[in-house]
Amino acid sequence: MDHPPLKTIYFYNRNCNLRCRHCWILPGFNDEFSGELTFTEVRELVFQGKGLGLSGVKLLGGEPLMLPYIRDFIDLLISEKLKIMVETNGTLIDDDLAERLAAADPFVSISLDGSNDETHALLRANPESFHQAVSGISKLVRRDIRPQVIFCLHGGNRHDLDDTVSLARELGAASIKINFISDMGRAQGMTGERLSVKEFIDIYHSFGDRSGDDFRILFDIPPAFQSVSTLAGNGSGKTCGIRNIIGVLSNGDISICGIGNVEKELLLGNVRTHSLESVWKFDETIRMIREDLPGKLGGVCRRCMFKKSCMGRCIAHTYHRTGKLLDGDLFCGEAYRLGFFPESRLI
Amino acid sequence: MSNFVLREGVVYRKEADGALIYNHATGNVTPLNATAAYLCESLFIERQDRETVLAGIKEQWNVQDEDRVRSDIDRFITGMKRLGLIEETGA
Repeated sequence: MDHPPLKTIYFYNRNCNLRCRHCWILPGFNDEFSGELTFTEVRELVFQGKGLGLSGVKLLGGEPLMLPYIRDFIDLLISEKLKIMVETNGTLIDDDLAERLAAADPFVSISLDGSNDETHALLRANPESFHQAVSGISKLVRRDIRPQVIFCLHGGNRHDLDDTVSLARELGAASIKINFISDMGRAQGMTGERLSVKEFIDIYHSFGDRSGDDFRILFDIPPAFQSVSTLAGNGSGKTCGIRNIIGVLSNGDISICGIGNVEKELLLGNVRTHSLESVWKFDETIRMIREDLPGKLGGVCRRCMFKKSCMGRCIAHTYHRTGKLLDGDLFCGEAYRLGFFPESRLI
Repeated sequence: MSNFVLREGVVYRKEADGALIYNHATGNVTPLNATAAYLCESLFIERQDRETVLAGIKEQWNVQDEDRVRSDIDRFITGMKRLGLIEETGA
């Protein structure tokens, strides 16, 4: 049997230097979790991945930039000519890290949940984090890395959306992505603050398409709700590429993505005891994703014209709420249930 | 009369700012901006001839350069053929 290439390893640091109220991955605070991989083991992981077609590594967390071997890791990825993607809170970007990243032409996204320290800290619970993130963005921009700002929209910062967009543009970011906060992980405690599906869609429509040639404004909204002009411009936010990725946690646990940090049933092995090849080629969950996605997606996805490109959006989130990977996207399902899923997007 | 129609299994959906074309055979969606949607409807659904479509484009978008519009229409038809979304009809 042929196997598709493993294009990207999503490498999650299980620890974080912040304790954000909306985090879905439930990382340990600072160095709470131990037993992490050594750099030698990470290097072996990368070489195994290359044998399966690896073309890039996405570093996430938790906070990936607090990995003790992060500088060596970046240098390794550069020397192996692998694409580097980093999703960070931006607080740990120093000149040396920015300099190393600049040699890689990376895709970096940095969280900024408000245009000032007060609004940003509503989620980050650390008043210093705003200035640190802004400083991190500036250090990258000075080296011609134009990051994407990620703004997690909620009831407490929706008034600040326009100003945060302006700030991101002024700082020199290439884009801002406005995320919906799902009821997952710590965000489940944000009842009353999280926006409803309807509110998020309404904000998307009222905001309109204000992207320019030099700065894009993207809403993390399923394609079924995106305007034709947004779709024609390659859509607003890409899928994670679930059929060509694998998640590795910093203790070596393997999963379909970072969901292994919160759903132990989705742990597929550990790089200390399993080869990446054996999991990629023979694991039953991976095989099921490969064979049944998108054809066996349930819910409103079954009838959606974007099923093939959207792939059920975040099947990890769906699993977290329903115990099934292919039950269909919950955002779209909620919209359909309430009667505002666009009829013209159904087949 | 246009010699092309949308292939069987190709669905056209009009939207506020253009249109979407869904191909059952591939599962792919092709977004069309307002001008492309006008071309698609005129040529492949209403099956107007090129000169009528040309006149419609000139009037609706106030375009004067006929050669350029003709070339755009040809390119649109070629693109739709390449995507397997239209087929020639004898009638």
